[in-house]
Amino acid sequence: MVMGNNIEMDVKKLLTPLVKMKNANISMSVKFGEAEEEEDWEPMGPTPKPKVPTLRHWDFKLLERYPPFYMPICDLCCLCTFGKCDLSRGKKGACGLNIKAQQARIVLIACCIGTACHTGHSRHLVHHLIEKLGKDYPINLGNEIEVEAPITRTVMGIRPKTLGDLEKILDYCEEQITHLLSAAHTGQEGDYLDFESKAFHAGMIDDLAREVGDIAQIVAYNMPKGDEDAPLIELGFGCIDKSKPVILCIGHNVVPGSYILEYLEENNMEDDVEVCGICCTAIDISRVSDKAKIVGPLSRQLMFVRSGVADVVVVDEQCIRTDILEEVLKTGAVLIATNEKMCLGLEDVSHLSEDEIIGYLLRNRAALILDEEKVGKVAVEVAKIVAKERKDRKTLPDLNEVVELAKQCTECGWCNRNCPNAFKVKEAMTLAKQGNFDGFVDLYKKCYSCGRCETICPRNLPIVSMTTKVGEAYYKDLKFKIRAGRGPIKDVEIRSVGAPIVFGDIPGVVALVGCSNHPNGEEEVALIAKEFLERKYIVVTSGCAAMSIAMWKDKDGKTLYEKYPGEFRAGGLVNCGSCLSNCHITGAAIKIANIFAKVPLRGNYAEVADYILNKVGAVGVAWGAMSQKAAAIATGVNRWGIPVIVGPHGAKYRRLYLSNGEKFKVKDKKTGEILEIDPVPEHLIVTAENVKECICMIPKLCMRPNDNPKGRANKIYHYVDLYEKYFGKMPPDLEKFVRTEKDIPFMMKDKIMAYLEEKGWKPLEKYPQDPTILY
Amino acid sequence: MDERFIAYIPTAGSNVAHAEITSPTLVKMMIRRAKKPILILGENLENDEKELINKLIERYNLKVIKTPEEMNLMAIMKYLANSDYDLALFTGITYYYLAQAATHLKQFSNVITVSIDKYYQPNTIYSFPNLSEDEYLDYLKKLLEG
Ligand code: SF4
Ligand code: SF4
Ligand code: SF4
Repeated sequence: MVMGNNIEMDVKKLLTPLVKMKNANISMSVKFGEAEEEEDWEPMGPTPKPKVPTLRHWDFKLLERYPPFYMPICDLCCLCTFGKCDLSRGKKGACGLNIKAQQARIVLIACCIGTACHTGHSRHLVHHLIEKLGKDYPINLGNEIEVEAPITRTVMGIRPKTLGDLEKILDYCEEQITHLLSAAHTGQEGDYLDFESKAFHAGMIDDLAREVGDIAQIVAYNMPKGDEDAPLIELGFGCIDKSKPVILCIGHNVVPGSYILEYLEENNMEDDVEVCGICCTAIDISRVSDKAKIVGPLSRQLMFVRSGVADVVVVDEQCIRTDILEEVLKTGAVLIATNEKMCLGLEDVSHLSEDEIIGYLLRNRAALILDEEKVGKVAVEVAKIVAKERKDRKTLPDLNEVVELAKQCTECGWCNRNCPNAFKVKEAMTLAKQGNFDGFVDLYKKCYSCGRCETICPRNLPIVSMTTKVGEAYYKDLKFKIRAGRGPIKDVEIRSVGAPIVFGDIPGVVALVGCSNHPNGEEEVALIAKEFLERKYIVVTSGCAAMSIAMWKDKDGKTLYEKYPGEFRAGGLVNCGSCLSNCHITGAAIKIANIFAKVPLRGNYAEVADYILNKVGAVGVAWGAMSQKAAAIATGVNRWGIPVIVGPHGAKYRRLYLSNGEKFKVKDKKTGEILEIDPVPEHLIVTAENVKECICMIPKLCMRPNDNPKGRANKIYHYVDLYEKYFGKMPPDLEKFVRTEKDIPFMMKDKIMAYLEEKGWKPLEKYPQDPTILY
Repeated sequence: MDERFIAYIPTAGSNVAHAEITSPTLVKMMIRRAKKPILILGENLENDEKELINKLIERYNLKVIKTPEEMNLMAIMKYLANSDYDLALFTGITYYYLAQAATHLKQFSNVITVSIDKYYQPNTIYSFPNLSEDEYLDYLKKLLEG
């Protein structure tokens, strides 16, 4: 094979006489092995399976333009017993570390946690599915998706064909995570930029691991494969039929939930038992069966558990309240833990027979079952019994009791102060004393049921339960529709939107993803989606954000999923699926480079990322970003050249990538010239204080150097129009983004020209036809 | 424990050095002494508070940046850290957001930062204590006296 020979020659050239022939044989046979497995689908690029420093040159390019901006959440380091060390105002720790490096180190650790989480999850899935279906089970996403795994192709340089191939990718991910995490040990990496480069690397691995996990579950569970007409699924407290036994799944891993659905189907009990979920497990089980229902995002977790609707709660992994056992037991329900990562101190009963486990659970109310197959029957049968037992059980106070409880409040105000958002709990209490629930109704809309107010209340008032009760009583119609996660974007969709995105005629792709740490409740995410759908952006979503979008209806009672098509096109609302499915959003950007522009993917990371940075007008919005996984996802997305906006709480990640807003330099590949250009995209990761700021920032961060004048005018139109709508004025930095008069939208010509004159604007003499920062 | 001098949201502090409590009289002196003061003005003020702040701006001829309307708060922090402004006053910004943002100037600049908001802000160099609505209006009025 030509490939093999080339590699063999290269290896021989590289070998010095000092290298033992034995080693050479090993390295050659590895190369040969790979070359044989892989037919010649594309020449291998420069960076297959990059190691920690392989893409450092690319990272440093990004970091030069978008230097890290640090906001230390804590100015101490307490990681080792040399310390703790005060790193404030230029002081160094006992190991020599300064505060910038320490911040970057914490970000790296956070990214490693997030990446390990997704990798662990994917490993668990793949391992399980291989046991069930075998190593050779094929990866087939249907005829319409030829580029089956864009991230894997680019990063690994392979095209995965079987579940067994996915395992190899995870081997690589795990090796990289080990190296990355070890760099955070005391007395290792000392430079903040290198820590950042490592965080980028962790983020990239995170992307890859998520792709592995989602592809595995799509093929194994026959989830929708890029289906724009994936079914509409019921969502919300109100869609759960309380008259039936209710099983609630919480977390991210679809395996136990899928066994529950399978057992119900096999026994014709699908209509007898309600299966619902919170967080990503909810989304993923609804990709397995349209009978599964979604309660809502993470933010509704404690409220729903407290409401006592569930008879059996099954937890798997990630984003589950760590006090879930205590909370579930309080309602008289039964808890089943199913994952080695979250055992909750419970007895492992996996070795018992299903019937024995059922007996155990009825006696002990909670257990750890690591054999997920058994969870199917056990959860269903236990739910049937427990539902009868709990029939008349009341778990929430009734409205009169809410008033009586409120009367105990001393109005000390500590609840407001301990609430991460300083919501007005005290005021709600004061009103409720007189039987007025307006304050609680308002709280119900915004509160993410973290329970911090409760833990500090000196009167031990069950504030979350009170809020939930009022919500239940005042919102009868908590029933919504969400489109089930469709998975990847089809190649044909990419073909038809490639050119308009790259030239700017489609003003942008907005990816609304991530957790529920919203500053003002779920509705804001829906409002962002609505604004950009109406403007014919492509709106893509996943995870808790996808659920938040569903929790808003227009005056005819329709959700955005019912109003807008599920296609990847201008004005389409695409729900990819769970957080794992975020990979398809990055994947779409990569596919634009590959399918539309013919950029080779294989082992060609930097060129692909450079293409995306300069040409693909996409922006990620994680309005409620909360977890370490969100940190890893955002950092991974950043390395691909896609900017991200996070909500105000995102500042607590303590690191942003902000440019100075001054001119950028790029090379024009057409002419070879180095040119100064407009600063687009302006930032790589940035916070917005409120939803108005976020909305106005989106069109700006969708601008790219490659926009043609018509495309840029289109983007500027939305930027100006939105600024006027939300702030009643012209954007204060507009002059930076108008390159020449041709960039000015026709409808706003006079207004913008007057503004530019006032600012003393001068057009750019030249801007590049084919911009790159790789020079 | 005097509640006036701990962060309004108790977990918003950043551990070693917390802001010193200041008074309207001292803030007036700081503004007068500053070579190049600036006010970073957020959106979260009540009408009567806004009115008094506007008078303050006029009275001391303060340079103002409104956030987020005119600039992103983090971009302002980055800008201030590299500028010759020597005094930055803050009010009307989402509490926990400013708490986090202010740490940038605290660690990486010599700008004297002062929170003249209603609530004690640990991560500026000086701050008003936690105030009730009436007390706050009173403080703002005192800034205008004399
Ligand atoms: S790791 Fe370094 S800075 Fe941190 S506590 Fe140890 S010696 Fe101090
Ligand atoms: S902390 Fe408790 S007692 Fe104090 S105001 Fe809040 S609800 Fe009332
Ligand atoms: S449960 Fe709600 S009101 Fe209470 S602290 Fe959390 S977000 Fe605030």
